[in-house]
Amino acid sequence: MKKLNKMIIREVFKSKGQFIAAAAVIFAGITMFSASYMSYQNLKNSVTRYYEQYSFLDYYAELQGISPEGVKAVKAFKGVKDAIGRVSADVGADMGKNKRITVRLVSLPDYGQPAINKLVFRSGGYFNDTDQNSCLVSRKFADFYRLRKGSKLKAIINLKIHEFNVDGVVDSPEFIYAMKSPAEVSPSPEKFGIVYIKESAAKSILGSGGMYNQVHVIFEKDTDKKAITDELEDMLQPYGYISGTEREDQQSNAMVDNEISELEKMAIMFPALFLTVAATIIYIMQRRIISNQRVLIGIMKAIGYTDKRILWHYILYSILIAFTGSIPAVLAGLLVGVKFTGLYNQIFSIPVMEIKIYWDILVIGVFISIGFCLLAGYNSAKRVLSICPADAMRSESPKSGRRIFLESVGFIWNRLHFGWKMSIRNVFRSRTRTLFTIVGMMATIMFFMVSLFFMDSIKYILNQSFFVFQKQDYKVIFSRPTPYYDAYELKSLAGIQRAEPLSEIPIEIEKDWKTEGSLAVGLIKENSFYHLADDRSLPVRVPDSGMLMAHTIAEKLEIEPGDTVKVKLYLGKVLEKDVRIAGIVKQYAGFSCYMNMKELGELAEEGVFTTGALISVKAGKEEEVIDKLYEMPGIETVEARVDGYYDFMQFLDLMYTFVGFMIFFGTVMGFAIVFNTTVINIMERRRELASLKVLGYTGREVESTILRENMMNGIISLLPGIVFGRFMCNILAGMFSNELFAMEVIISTKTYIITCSSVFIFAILAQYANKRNISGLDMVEVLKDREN
Amino acid sequence: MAESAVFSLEDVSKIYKMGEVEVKALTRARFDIKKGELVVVLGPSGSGKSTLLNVLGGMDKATSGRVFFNSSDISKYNDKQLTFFRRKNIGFIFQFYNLMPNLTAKENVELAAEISDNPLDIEAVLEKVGLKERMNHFPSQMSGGEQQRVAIARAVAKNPDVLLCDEPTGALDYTTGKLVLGLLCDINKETGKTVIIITHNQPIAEIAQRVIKMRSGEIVENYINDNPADPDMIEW
Repeated sequence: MKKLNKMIIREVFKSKGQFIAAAAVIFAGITMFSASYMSYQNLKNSVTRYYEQYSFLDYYAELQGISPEGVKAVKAFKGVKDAIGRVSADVGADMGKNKRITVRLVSLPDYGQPAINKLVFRSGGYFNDTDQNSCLVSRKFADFYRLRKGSKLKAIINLKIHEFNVDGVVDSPEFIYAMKSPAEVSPSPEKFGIVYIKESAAKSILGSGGMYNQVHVIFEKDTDKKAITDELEDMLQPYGYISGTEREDQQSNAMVDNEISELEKMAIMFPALFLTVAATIIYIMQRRIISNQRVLIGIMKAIGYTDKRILWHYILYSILIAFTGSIPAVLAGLLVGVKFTGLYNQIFSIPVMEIKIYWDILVIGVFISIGFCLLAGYNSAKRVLSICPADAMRSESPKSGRRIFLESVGFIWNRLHFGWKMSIRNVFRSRTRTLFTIVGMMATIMFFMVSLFFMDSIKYILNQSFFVFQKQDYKVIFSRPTPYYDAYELKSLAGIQRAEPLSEIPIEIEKDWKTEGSLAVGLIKENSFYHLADDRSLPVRVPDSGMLMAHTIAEKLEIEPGDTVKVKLYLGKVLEKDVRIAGIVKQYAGFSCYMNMKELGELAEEGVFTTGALISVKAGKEEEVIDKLYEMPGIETVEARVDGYYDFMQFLDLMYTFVGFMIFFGTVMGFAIVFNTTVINIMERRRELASLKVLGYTGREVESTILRENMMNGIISLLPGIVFGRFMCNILAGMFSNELFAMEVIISTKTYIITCSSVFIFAILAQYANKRNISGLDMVEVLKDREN
Repeated sequence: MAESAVFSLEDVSKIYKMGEVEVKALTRARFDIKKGELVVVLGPSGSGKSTLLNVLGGMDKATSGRVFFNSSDISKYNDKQLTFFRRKNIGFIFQFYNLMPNLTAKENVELAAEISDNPLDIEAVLEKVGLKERMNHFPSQMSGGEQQRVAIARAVAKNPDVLLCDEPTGALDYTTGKLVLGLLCDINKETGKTVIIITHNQPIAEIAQRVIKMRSGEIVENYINDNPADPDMIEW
């Protein structure tokens, strides 16, 4: 082996603490990258394959009624590859034990799979030929209620109980995310399930008169889908066209898409942050190694080594860090990636989920780390080129020893202990060293803040959404719109303290060609359950006229209070109305718009009506009240507010896992940064520290000089660290706000305390880890050496 | 320029600019050094002898004047040419040894030999400096004299034409210092290499065949010593 290479290897072993610390940060970044990027690839490819293999729809339309002949006409339409008609309706289901929920009945051909949205059988099989009440149920829903072949399911259709027999448990590309409406906060198999029934049974039970209310379409490949959709919608008008949805906007697919793109962002953003920090550390470390090795560089040049060879020698050190960090990282990334993918599949339940190892990602991971390290290595090592061998052999002149600003404040300065004076002077005089240490500490603060901010923010959002904004105990949903006084009648039930009517209508808001789906919620003026507030948390009352809009929708569509927008209301028919926006309300999850119930009723051309009620129940009377409610006709479901909270919590599992990893890696990095800067500080000042010992300072006193300086650097780094951290949190909050919730930068006092103390804890730990380096300083040896 | 001159200097000056002050480290130096000579450059500290050594060794460039090495004007060389000039022709020996702390004695020597086209046998060189037994020790495990002998071995192993020694005994005790000088004389005699020793130590000049005395950046004396003394015989 060439001697220079041997030198590098020995250098690595000599400074193994530093080397490992730098490699650990690379490890963290590349592990995150390979794990999340692999899950992203797996998920994306699996979803694409799922859609292809199971013929997921390209487009579907809601209609008032289309005959089988009408569907044939759609199928024959130019550019349409296949089309199916089906009947679909949301009905109540009695799940026993006082539980009534909503299920979506979906018709399927009596015999054989549909041509579009094919099912994946998890257990059991297709409909029983001889049983008109045969049904298939969606898997998550089945899992939750332990439904299997042979189970019974009671649906409440038109106020009558209808018993279905489960013959199979299935998944469908159409319902990867099964949610009742876009206004729901998260999917919940406890509250909503899909029940497939025979087409012939659906037509008779739901009384559709042989007509379908939906048509699903797959287009020919390589066609102008937009143009065909427009023509198709014109053609569907005579069938009572209500709405058309393209694949991109199909609820489940939009959520899946959103999730996948978020994963992609995570897979790039966080590793990039880690690697940038790693590159910075390597840059700082290398720069300081090079200035400490000036003489050695001079000798290499004197012996006749070329600049290029010496440059390469130092760059090689960075590359070794890259390899040491990234090779185990891609392997760890494999394991973590499999875990991530598994977690995702728990949410998505994709039957063709493939956990594949993408070797190219692993290779890319290694190359990215090399890229970052090369950049850092080259930039720091290029200083080698400017070192003149003759100069390098001369010892550097001592740094100028000017007074620092604080010294002119005699009142403070004169009261300081000598040790403090020395430390303060060191911090302010060695500006480059101080700056590098502070940059490292700032990165630590930033990382802790970014990781913990997720927890704070989600906790805050959930608390606001489920405990501050809503105060009802239960939301009662009626099977069909009823006169508003029905809701007040609930109050007469023993145990109900308060009941207020509520009307909900799915809507689509349109402004300047941009549209957004939402839910219009009609409340009474003196409503006491929904505490609407503006962005300054001041209460907002339900206006007499006009709509209060969730801030997220307003921001997306660029709507200001006072604007008039087009609103499509979907209530069996479609109405298009102009609505004035009376105000904007802050909403963190489940973005709805609020109106006076009376006005909403008028808008829907229905008079004042309710679709449900909000109630509060006396403590201890909950079960009794729910029992009684279910005995009443016309009640579809009763939803507990806290259930929504727990549903959301389950949904956040993945995020918590991710944040857990972030905190783990953030800790590794934080320690690595502070440890490295401390080691370098000690190495650079060996002579100075040895001189102190020669003067009679004890090992402990010398240690406290270093510790004092690190602590001072820590204090200086707090403010810029926090500002930088908040800046990153703002960026991430924007990136992670999605269809489900609006991320807000909320940082708790606890987070501030943990974040700030982390720097000091790391400083103390790093000091402890370096104890031997300080107390073991051999005065004679150190002072004998000219340099090094 | 004498035909057999290995170095020939023509009015070589070196001026350092330190802020607004100009320091004349070397003023119009003019002399020849013959091939195979053992030269001692003598002068107190600050007399410009290290500057002279740096200019001779291609570690620094003269501000004016010309430096010929075997008839080639190295003052016109660029950095790359100077690197190859050092690699091929010059072996440096420093006051503080400047060994690579991470490499053993043998590896330090190999470090230099590896980039030479015509290296000597490393073990033989180490044997010559009396360190064959200790060649696998690291510098930190060796005494100053041993380290300096490794440095000499490192300089010799490349098989250069010239050895440039900057205060080679400066950090050594009397006995070890004499041992090192003896070694340099032996190398000069046995291999015919030109050896240039820079020192502030007057008695060392007695071992030289040519003595160049410097003061305040100027050559004040340049003479031939017809009877060089044996290093064992000198005292300081």
